[in-house]
Amino acid sequence: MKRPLLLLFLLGLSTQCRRDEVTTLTFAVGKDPIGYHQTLVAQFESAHPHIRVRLIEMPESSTQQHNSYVTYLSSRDPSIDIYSIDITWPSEFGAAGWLLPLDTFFVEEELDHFLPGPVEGCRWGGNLFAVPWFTDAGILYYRKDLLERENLSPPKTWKELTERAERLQARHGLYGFVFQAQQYEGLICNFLEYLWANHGRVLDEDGTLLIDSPESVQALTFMRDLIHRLRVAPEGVTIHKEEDSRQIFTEGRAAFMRNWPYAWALAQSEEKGSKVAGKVGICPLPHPQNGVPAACLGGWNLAVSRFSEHPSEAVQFIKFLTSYEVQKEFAVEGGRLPTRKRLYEDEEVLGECPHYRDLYEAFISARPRPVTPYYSKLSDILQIEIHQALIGTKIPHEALRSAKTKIEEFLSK
Amino acid sequence: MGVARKKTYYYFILPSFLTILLLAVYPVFHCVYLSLHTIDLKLPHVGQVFVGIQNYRYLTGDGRMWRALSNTFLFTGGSVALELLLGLGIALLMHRRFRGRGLFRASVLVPWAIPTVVAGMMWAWIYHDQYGVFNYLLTKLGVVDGYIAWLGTTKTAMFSLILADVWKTTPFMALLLLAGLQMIPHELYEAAKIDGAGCFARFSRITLPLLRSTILVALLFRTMDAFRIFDLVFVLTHGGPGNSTETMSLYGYKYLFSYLEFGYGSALAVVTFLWVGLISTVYILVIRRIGR
Repeated sequence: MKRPLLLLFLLGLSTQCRRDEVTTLTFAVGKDPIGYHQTLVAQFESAHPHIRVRLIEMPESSTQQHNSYVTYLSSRDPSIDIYSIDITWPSEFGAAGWLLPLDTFFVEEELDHFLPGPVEGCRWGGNLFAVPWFTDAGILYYRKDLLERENLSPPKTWKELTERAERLQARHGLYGFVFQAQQYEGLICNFLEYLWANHGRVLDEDGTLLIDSPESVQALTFMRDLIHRLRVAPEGVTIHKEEDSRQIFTEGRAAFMRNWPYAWALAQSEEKGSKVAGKVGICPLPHPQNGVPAACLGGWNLAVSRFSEHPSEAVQFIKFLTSYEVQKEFAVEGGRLPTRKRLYEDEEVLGECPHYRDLYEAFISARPRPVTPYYSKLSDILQIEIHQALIGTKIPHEALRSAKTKIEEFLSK
Repeated sequence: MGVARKKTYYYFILPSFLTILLLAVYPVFHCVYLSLHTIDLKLPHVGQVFVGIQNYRYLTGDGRMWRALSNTFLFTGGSVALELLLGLGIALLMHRRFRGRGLFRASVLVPWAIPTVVAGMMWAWIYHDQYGVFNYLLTKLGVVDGYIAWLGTTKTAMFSLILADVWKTTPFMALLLLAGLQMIPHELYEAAKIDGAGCFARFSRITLPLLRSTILVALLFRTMDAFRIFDLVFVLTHGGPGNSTETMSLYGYKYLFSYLEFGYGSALAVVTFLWVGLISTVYILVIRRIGR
């Protein structure tokens, strides 16, 4: 009789201890060129004294980040509670049963405040597997000063882009246009933007592959021509990722750059080494004469690991990071585009970032990459074939047909 | 030998035997076991389906696998051959007596001491098309007339990888060969000198024959290692450009970690393992024959 009582006492004691115990959450997140994650964590910790957050910085390349996450999750590792995941992963990780469905914590009315594209990308099979943290879409950066000197407007069409790039390259001794064409995920984002702008698609509603359509071949041919025929892009773009382009541009060595919005704050900051502060403008990506504006939706989303031992604290942290106030601060100080729609009308935000107003339409209509658990394999095959077309070992038509055959082959398996 | 004593021997062997069983034998067999199944982590409800040798049958018709295999052979052959030549040269230098030999020996080992991934990042900068020191030096010397994206063309990417690997592992080769050189009795050289043998004759008649088994052992180590090349390719090209530098390990890794298809990924790993096994068997047979 005595023993159960003692046990009960010990149990009570232990829960008592638990209450005072500090819970440590681990948050895996990609490299932040602005360095603002630590500030956000400090704010959360001071508001929640019982929760500590440990940041784990992941590689810059999303492909490598994906692979690290898979290592943790497939071994059911509980050591990471919150993952910052790319917009293409919720379906894959959700289908694998690695993420906690968040539907009960984020009800529909709350999600209505968010941009529709990112929320769609976070859903799979009727469940919400992540909450959009900040969004991203490809935009065009241009040298305002040079365009003004030449009396030119920012380019709206592909033709205007190449003409202006050629002219600035010839007259001002810099590269015309830089973008990301290394064999990696970013290459697909770049390619899809040309594809969509030219009315092309990867898959239609029935899941039929349209990747070798004439629109698609035209888009890839244009990309190749930028490097090899028109020569407005240096040959090295085939090994460039975001930061390579960004460095070239902020050093004043390129007239135009396709990049994500994060580069804006870096381009405008002299302390961070920009030689073009105040000389930069941004606009939606150009499209063909008869095409449509298109941007590839990027953006990172917060998900809770199904193997986390502290799911409720993790949800608290996600609520904090996606709250109106924190997103506002992250937008103004960290240059990250908020996922809450109303922030794009917020006077304070627009006061700091007047460019958000013009870009809102482009962002709200930005498209997610094909949402399928097979996305990584599909993307990998496209990366290889498209890269072969860009380095000139295959003609675009051949590359895309071969990609189609290979994708069909694994889909039918 | 008494039975009791024999039993004691087994007790001593047991811990290391169990460790090897757990860390080496079990994973290999488990990998073979997995390779006979279809396992797609993206579809957990399908589970693990036994498919026999279907993965291997698919493998024989997988063009990407054959390409990866030939890339792996190219990389292995190129890097090991260059490492042997350079390593032998460095070993001969290190073997001579001269002022500052200790410092020289220590400094030769520096590249070997740098973790491969770090060395990979370093080479990524060296080869960079805009900021790379490689381009800077070559243009200064007038070898090339413009900056080249070394990792961006199929003609140069594999060569660049091999060069980076040679820089990294030549010291290891040199160290192994130096140990071999030190085993050669000094009297042989003195006797040869008295008989009027020149330095080339001494090298080809004494050094090379006596170093032969050391060279083979060094080649065995390096070939096995080079055949499994992963980290350098992963950091420098990720298999690009246009997949022209994808190796067997990297291809298997992509199936395992990007596509999450553990069955086929394991089959690729098993094939890599078999090739490494075959290569080492050939080496070992040759070494045995020489020993006789």
